[in-house]
Amino acid sequence: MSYAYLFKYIIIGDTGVGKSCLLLQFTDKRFQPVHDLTIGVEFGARMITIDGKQIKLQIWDTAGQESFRSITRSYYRGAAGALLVYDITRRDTFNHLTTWLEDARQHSSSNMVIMLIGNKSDLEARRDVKKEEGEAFAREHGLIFMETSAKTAANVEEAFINTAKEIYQKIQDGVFDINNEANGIKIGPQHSLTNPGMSSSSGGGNQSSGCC
Amino acid sequence: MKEAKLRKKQLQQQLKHEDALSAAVKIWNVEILPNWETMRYTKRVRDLWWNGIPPSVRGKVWKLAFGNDLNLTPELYEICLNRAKDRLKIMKEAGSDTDSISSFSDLPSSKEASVELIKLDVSRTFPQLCIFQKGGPYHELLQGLLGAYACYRPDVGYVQGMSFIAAVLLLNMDVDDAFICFANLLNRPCQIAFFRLDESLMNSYFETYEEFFHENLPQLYYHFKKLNLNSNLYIIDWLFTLYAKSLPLDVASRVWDVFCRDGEEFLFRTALGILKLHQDILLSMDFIHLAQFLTRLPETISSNELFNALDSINMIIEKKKFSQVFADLREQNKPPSDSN
Ligand SMILES: Nc1nc2c(ncn2[C@@H]2O[C@H](COP(=O)(O)OP(=O)(O)OP(=O)(O)O)[C@@H](O)[C@H]2O)c(=O)[nH]1
Ligand SMILES: [Mg+2]
Repeated sequence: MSYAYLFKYIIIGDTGVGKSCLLLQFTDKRFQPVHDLTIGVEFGARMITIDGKQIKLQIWDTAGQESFRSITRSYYRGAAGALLVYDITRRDTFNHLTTWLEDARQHSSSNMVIMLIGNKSDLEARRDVKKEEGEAFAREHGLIFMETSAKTAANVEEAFINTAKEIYQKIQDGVFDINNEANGIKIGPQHSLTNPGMSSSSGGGNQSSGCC
Repeated sequence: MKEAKLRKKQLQQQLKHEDALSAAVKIWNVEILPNWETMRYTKRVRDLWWNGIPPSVRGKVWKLAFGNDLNLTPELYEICLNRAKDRLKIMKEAGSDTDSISSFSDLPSSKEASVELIKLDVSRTFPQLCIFQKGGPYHELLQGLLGAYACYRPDVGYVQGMSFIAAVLLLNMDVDDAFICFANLLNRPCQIAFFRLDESLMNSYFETYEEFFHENLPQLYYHFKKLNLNSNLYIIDWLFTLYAKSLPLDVASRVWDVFCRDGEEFLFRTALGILKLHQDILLSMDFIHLAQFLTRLPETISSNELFNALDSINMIIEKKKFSQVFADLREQNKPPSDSN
């Protein structure tokens, strides 16, 4: 399918916080109670619409285990957005956020939009981190914040889409240089600004709503 | 009428298959296993080996083939297991606040943190089999084995991927043997390099793999290059679990059969076999589809089609075997002698 922009996302955070479950809920709209653990990286993709424009999200779901950090660091390159996830029922996953943030800031473009996510909000009875604490951390570090549940799907859609809105806004504001792929944004094949008219080799008329 | 004929033919084939299997079991049990050292390198045994070890003798063959260079004993396993259990108890008493002990550094996780991690991962190992999950028959065994290993090798600790390897062993042998096999298997050069996350060695393995990729499947190799699809994006998952997570279990077991015959080069040959088997569709995919495909392989791969593809993978480049190409690359990449 054609798209105006492609954004690369990366999902990071401690092992077991529900990164893969969030991705699956977002791309397939289902919850798998026992998901395989992730080794290295897994991938997902979905099309969303913002401001009437089709945007393709290419999502890199990384392994959370500390041992894999040296490997997953290289995956930040070219990410336009990051979802930094902790588990509201495990305080240690919240305590590790600073380290994650340092890592992310150090290995990505400075314009990368970071969304902080407190996941497993359905487990209210086992809550170990207050919502206010998440909000405070986000405020302090200039992140967007949301609590989600990959199980009930609460806020999952919003988390991914709001991140994209922020990135889109930055493009509108001219903060992102969209012709530099290191920023994690690509212009869709039909929308290339640098050489318009190059993509009409198929000879067919308007194919904007065609499917691949 | 036609259907009946077909059914009869299928039945005959199945009988033939079963006959062949029981004949193979007999050969392994009666002829090969009692004379292991003299027979293991003969052409006849090697051929039989390639065709797959019958499940009922698989554990015995793996045990012999992986060997026990470390001279481990069931007693040592008991000791390590008890130590792991003590640790778990202490943690429970101290509450779940592991944070004070687990330091979040670049070093492999501390042993204490390992125990927490293991608990989290055991349930996420082969979830569809429902035997390693809490309450399942293998849950405690798997958790114990991994904990014991982390005590035995604190320098390696627990690394994700291990739970799949240990699980496959437990499915084929009893727990003492599984521990001994596991520790010896992980002590092999390629496995120890990966589980210690030795970046320099890992990169040399990837580079060596790339050379054989280029040699065997040049078209696909350039397709991946053009899309910037780095081989570590998919091969890390394959190697850290020895394919146990990525291939159907029966296919992975056959890969392990030949892995314990041919060593690490077979792991890389398998990767190339998988690519070759799917070459046509892979050539038509863009980055994201390739990445998704390779990190989640079709569940329908059969061992026969994979081994057919593997048969034609060439593991010699200019008269050099995998190990030689690897050694040469290590030599070239050697940092100037003043390290740091
Ligand atoms: N109740 C509840 N459980 C969840 C939720 N999200 C994930 N889980 C559970 O948490 C476990 C871990 O989820 P994963 O998605 O595998 O975690 P991950 O962050 O991808 O972990 P790694 O791949 O190891 O980095 C799963 O077994 C899920 O059952 C949620 O929103 N609510
Ligand atoms: Mg995951």
